[in-house]
Amino acid sequence: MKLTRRNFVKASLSTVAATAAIGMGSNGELVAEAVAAVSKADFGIERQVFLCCRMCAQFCPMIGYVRDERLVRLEANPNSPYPAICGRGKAAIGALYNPDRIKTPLIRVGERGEGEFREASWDEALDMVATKLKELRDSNESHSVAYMPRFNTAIGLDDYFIKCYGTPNTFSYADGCFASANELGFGSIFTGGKESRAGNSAVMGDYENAKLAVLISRNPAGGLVAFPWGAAYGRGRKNGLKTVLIDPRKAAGTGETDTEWLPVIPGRDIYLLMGLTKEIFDNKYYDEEYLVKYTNSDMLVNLETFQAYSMADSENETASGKDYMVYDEVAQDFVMKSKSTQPAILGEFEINGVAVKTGLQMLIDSTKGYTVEEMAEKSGITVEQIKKLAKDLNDTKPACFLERGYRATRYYNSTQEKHLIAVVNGLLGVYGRKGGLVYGRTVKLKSPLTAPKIEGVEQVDKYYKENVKGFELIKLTHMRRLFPKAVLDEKPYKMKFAFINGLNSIGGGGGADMATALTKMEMILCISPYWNETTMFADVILPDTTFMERSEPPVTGFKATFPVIALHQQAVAPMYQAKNGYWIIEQLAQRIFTPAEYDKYFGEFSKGGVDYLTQYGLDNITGMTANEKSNFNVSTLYSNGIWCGDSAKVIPKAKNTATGKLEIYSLFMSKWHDKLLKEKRYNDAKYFTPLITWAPPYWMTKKETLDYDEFIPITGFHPLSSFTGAQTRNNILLSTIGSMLDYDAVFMNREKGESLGLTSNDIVEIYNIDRPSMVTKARVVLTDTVNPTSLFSFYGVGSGYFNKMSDKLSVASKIGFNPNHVATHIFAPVEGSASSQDFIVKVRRAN
Amino acid sequence: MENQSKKKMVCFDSQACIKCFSCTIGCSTENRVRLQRDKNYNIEKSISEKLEHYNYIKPVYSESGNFPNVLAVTALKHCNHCSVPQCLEICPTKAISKRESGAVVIDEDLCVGCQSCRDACPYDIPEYSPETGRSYKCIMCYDRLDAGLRTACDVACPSVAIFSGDEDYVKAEALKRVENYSKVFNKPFIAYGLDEINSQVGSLQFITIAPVENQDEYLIPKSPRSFTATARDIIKVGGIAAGVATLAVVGLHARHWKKNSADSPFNNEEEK
Repeated sequence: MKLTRRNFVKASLSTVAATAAIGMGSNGELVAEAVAAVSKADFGIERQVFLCCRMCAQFCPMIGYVRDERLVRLEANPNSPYPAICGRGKAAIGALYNPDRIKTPLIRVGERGEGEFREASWDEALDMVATKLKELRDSNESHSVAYMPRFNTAIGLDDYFIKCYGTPNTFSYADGCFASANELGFGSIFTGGKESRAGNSAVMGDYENAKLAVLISRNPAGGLVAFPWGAAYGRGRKNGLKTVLIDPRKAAGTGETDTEWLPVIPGRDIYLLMGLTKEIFDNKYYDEEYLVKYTNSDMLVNLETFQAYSMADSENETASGKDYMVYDEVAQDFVMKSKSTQPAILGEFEINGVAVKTGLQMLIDSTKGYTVEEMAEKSGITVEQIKKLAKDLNDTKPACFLERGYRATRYYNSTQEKHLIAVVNGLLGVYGRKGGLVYGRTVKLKSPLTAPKIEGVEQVDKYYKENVKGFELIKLTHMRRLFPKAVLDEKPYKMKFAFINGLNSIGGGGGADMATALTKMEMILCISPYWNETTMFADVILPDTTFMERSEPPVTGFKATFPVIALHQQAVAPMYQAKNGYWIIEQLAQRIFTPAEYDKYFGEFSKGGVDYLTQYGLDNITGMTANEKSNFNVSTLYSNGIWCGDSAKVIPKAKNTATGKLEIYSLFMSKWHDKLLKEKRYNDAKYFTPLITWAPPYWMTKKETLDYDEFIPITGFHPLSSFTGAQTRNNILLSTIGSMLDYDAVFMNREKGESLGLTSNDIVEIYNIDRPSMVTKARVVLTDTVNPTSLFSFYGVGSGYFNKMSDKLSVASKIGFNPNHVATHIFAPVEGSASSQDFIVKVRRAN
Repeated sequence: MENQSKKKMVCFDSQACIKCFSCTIGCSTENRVRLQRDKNYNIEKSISEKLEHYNYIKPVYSESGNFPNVLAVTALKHCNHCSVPQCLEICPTKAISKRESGAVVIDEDLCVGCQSCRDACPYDIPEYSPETGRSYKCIMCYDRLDAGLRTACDVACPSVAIFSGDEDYVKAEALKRVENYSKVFNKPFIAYGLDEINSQVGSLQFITIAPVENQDEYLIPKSPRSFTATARDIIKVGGIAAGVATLAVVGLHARHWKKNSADSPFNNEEEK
């Protein structure tokens, strides 16, 4: 990719740069006495480029400083309300210039998994891959190619290429991420539709204005989204935000001195939420006015069906749109909501012989079978803590919230957990309130590329969704962990080729089964700048560029209350023989497609490249308000590197629910509950209910209590590491500080560790009781910051069970635990995502 | 720059900190930029070496209490830039100077690595590098501050927990925050170093906001003392003995240094 004139942004530090030029020798070096004398802050900075960070997946907008065609410094792009990148982003240069990168195309010479490769030319490697892909396509077996994308480098082109090629089988990573409990759990009360899904940008904590934030399954610092969440969180703390942390481990980033820690037992958050909800009901801490106005708390529910008392049930009223029946306290009669003046939110009634209750009454009554004391004991925290939390929420509402948590399904019961969190927030009336949960906005840039429809072949995950019980609510194309199951089941047909583009399939979950499935492939292609567990199994590896070595179309997918467009420009030429993904895709396309096909699918792109996608996208922006449209200006975007629109209005709203209200009594949940009961799937039905009820994690279905040497393996992100593999874990800038903080260790409760005869820095062996032969070694640190039931490790720092690639990484830790490698390969009931930490491990001292 | 004479200040606010350690990485990468600028390092080299001594901000973890009533704090250990720098006083080669901005700076070219500064420092800050045979500590980004830019740690911080610039601005913001925290959390907070702490350190140019009751965890003690510096003060009063005694102290450090360079933690680190 050429660097265009546009990429050259006028240095805003021009005065500094001018000072810096003085004293520079002919080779660019500075005279020695400058050390003590310098008053300049910079040196001959030639130019700045705008980038979106990819050290994790959040694209935080940054500025790169380039000197002598080398990237020397990265900073947050200051042209937004929340300029922020984290330490990982600052250390991206360490990933770019990492000598352990994959430098040339490689072809396997040893056994799969052993990591023996020989260097190859680009032509040889591309020909080898393309020949196989062409062969499969020519024999009508395109569908046997499984595409697994993640940190790929051909955004806006890779997916298009795969569809043009003709396989519907994309197995993306999101079953361990956003396509999970969080989407459905939250969506169940405010999104509606056939599958109620609410992504992370749909609603988020208003940290800056909140008085109390309850952080449950989210640590803002570790799982950092620096732009804008980390920045907003810090501003909230600055404003005096109080925090309560509900987590088996006391995470530092949520506050050290003035925070409350509720060290819940892993997978038992629901008990805590049940206790909290009961306490809220007992004390009438809910916001009555809000409930009447914005929720379906007044909706009459048929006690036989658990559905809304339907219009068909009534002879007097006819259905109209999203209206529903309520009991009006002024009319003292049953009327439609739209005609009511004072709908009752409490009460049990009978209409035409049908017993009904209001939505709120349904929830309240579901809490009558237990006490707060029982719930406290089962969750591992004290009654006083639950009572105080409920009171504090009441005292601060609506400027408070329970965090919606972050992404991944962790346990079987995560959907129910998220659903209950969403309900509590509804009861407190914090949606669409200043200091509560506020809504996000995004704009989109259209793509000029439209792939042909793939006809006559069944998508593998669709087959499971439609035919296999337990997978009905999976998110299509996001089921990475379904790939090994489908391969081992050979359903609905055989997979032959794994096309892995930037994904670490083994590292990301279902590791053992993934490794087995991969060995059944006729060919495995990995495109990656770095070694990871999966590349060790590849037949061909193509060395990718890092995000700093390529241009991409502007990025719009931010988790913000306001829409953002941010530029991503190539900073430097690729190192070694690395090539960017667009080039790789084009090369494969040239080799696979006929000239006529190539011209049809790739003609325009090959002429215009990324600029073509960018230009088209900026000419076709959707989602802007009229005001934003009239103010938006491409040249300003290019001089600032970022455009930020107006924040979403802070008003309560439900997107598309059946009632048009925030459904604190979730009709989505009740519908699925009813369906599962009708199919006699009583166990599954526990996990999908509109009521405040318990559903166990997988580990508790194995045993209720843990043995003296057993733990639940919990993880969290370290702010100096990420799920992006070697670019963070093998980064010397990060590991130098990370190792001062023991970030590669496993953390165990001190008293419990001592009872096992362990001391800090002992090496221990860890294994999943379901997979006793897969033993991982790790260094243990004893601490009082972890619940005795939990074994904590920072995700992705240790080398895990599949640690052969450690030989290729000079900085990364050689040992350490990675639960994904050894987890039991289970799927959360009905929604099918990765219950990634829902298993039991035993720990013993290594000899 | 014309505003050279203006005093500069940096503030770390432990309350707004989200413990992401961007500041430590920002410090480390800025020092690597300085290596390229001033020492003609190329980027690939500067970025692939550990250079631990260029991390001027180090995390120090401490834990007290028992589960679940545990206090866990990761303090940021760095030079506080005292108004009465004991390191400057003791340095036998005059490698340490205090700039007009208030920054206390070790000149790497003049430092002989005797480590007197560390022993004299009431905060135990300067770190000796066996790789280079010199001592290192935060330089308060004097090059950046003097040029009107914010410090590297400040620029790196995503959460407004570090702020730097003209002394008046930093002081005012720090006082505002302390007042707010004291009110919200109903207990005293301190902007440590704004006022004189004691006669040995004076006041500070790198101040820290924390709850008063947690000063020790945040490494901002009420009465920082260095035995070496205290001893020297006594010796000074003794007149004639002073010169001899100071030499003796420095001599001790030279021996100490030789011994340490063989079995320093840094060397052990390499062998791991």
